[in-house]
Amino acid sequence: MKTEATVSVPPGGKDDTEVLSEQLEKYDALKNAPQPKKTGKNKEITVFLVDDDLLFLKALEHSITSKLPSATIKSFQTGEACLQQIKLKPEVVILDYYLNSTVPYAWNGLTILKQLKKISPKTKVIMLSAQDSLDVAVKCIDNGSFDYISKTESAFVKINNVLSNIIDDYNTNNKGIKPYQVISMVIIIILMICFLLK
Amino acid sequence: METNKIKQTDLTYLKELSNGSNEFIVEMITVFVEQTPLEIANMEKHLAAGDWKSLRATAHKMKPSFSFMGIKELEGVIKTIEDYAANEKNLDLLPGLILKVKEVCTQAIEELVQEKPQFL
Repeated sequence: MKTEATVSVPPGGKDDTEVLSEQLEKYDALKNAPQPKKTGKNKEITVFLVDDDLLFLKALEHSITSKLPSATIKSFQTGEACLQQIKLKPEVVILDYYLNSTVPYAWNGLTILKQLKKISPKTKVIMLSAQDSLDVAVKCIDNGSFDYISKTESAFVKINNVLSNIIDDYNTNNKGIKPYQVISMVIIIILMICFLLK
Repeated sequence: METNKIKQTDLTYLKELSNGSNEFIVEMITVFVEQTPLEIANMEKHLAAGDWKSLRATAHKMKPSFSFMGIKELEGVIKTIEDYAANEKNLDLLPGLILKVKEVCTQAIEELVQEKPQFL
């Protein structure tokens, strides 16, 4: 059929299968490619930091501010102080597991985590601990923690990566369809046309 | 003493974290110099009171500060104190370990006080 030839064989002389496989390769490449750095306006997230160790708190605040200047940071040395400000609806809370070294009867991180998830279920809580314990990590995740990071020298890099991913997720959800999704739709339409014309 | 001649602090990691901000380095040194003697006094208080839970909590809290200031010698010592206090074992070794922390920190603070002006 002439119509079939005009549709399925482009000027380069390639048939349907070749064209399709090329397009699928391009689609896969786009889907798997690292996302380019966004230059547009990103969502400005509020991050609460909770740690009774002032030195770690200052280092964490500096690290996040350096890497994610658009983030609004609020620091607290007790979980109770953080809960008092939870009406500000932070997108993320970075919470230490042990919070009672200075104030002996202060609530620990796990209790604060449970309270946070009750009051503000959408807030993502990243738990921190200087103790690399699987039990503690499992307990935190079971109680709704988004992630668990141990306070090693790589903690700051890990925290910033998790925060970047959270910001990317917010931006992606707000920006709608990704380029590879548009290409996949175009391919499906072409396939449907080919099928109908055959 | 011969051991006092060995430099206890190494600010390489802190400089890396600073991203070139001297203000941050000064702030961190200031907090360490002010906070560490208080934490050591707390450890001594908890040791004297036999309050192993609080001793463990204080030792646990001090751990990252030694990494920031590059005090390698104490990274293992503070973990040992935390472990002994948490499990209430080798309690007779705790006074010696806390004394070690005190001696090394005293020297570390002297070094940091001397180094601080170069970042002002």
